[in-house]
Amino acid sequence: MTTPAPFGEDQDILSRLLADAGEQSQLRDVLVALSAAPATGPQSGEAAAIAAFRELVAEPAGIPSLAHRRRLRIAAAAASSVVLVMGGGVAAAAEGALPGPAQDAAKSVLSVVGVHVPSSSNASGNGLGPRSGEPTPTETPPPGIIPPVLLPPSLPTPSNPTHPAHPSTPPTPGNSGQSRHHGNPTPTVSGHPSPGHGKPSSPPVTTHRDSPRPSHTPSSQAVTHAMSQSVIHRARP
Amino acid sequence: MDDFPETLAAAQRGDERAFTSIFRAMNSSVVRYLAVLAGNSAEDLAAETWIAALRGFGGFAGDARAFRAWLLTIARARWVDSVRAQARRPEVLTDTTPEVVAPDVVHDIVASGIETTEALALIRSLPADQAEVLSLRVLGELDVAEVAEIMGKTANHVRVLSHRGLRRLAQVLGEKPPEGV
Repeated sequence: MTTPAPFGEDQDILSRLLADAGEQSQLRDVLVALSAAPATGPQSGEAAAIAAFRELVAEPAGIPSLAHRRRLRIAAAAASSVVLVMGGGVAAAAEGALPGPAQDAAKSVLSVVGVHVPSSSNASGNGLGPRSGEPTPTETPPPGIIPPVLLPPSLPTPSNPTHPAHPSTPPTPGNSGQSRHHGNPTPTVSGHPSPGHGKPSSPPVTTHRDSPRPSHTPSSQAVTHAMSQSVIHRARP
Repeated sequence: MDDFPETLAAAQRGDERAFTSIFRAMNSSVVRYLAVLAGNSAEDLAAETWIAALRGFGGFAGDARAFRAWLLTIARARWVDSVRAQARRPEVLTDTTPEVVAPDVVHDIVASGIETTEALALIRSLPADQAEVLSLRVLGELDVAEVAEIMGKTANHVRVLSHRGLRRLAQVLGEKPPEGV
């Protein structure tokens, strides 16, 4: 069944044991037979061991299992999502489009890695925050006054219906939109002075029905009113 | 196995032929050692040993001698577990005669040339500690310190057990026992 063979790697151990055993040949034969090399070829239990090897070693080392592939897919999706969000955030910060605190935080973080990001104060004209010249949500017009920009073009302007302006009226030379009241500062936020908020520096608003967007500055309103008056005066016999 | 490090590395990468080569070189030691310890359930325990070894196979580092010692340590742990499990189970009476090497059988073995199975039967006739020490030293090709570590004994105790086992084996074989300790 088996072929007696000498010890493979450590001859010393058998030599020492046999030295202990003296010159007794039968005892030596027993020890050599005990360590005899097995018959060549498949051994009992080899198929089961190879099956276990395939399951526990070969498959994890080679083709990943279904669960492993699913985990890899989830990790890849999560990583790409993080990259997208981070990239979008960096781009928005570089454009100054983030809200104030987020913009400041992005500036402090990205300046470490050398990315120039405007601060929230510098980026207010570009970002989502309130822009200069536009009314903030808290700046509501006074009751009774409807901002012209909110009126549909088909409705008449309720402020001064007795001053129809002729669409073909050419502008008066010298009235190029510049205010003639140079001493009065021009409000920057809203062009609609409200009663009770100081003395208005111009007459009531008179806008042209067909004008796409009326000027909001009091000086332009004064020019519009003056033009309307001149048309009325010329129409009189 | 002269090329054991390369074969082990290939097997750890999933090379089935490399693993088969390692299995064929090492399995006989495991089965024979377990045959000394557990008798007929040696092959079942050897299969459990390989499965347990394969779970940590990828992280093993060492030469063939260390790998064999590692395998035999796992095999011993499997055997201890099986003995504890049997102790928890109720005892079953059987008509099967326990394996005993009778003197006339020993004479026949010696006269006709000793086969491995017969040598294992002779070793199993020794007291358990002596049989285990001799099997680890011969089958595992381990030195005294390695055997002592596996069995949880001192090196001197292993030496004493080894010598007593050899003397007793010589007595069974009808030869003059070795002298000294």
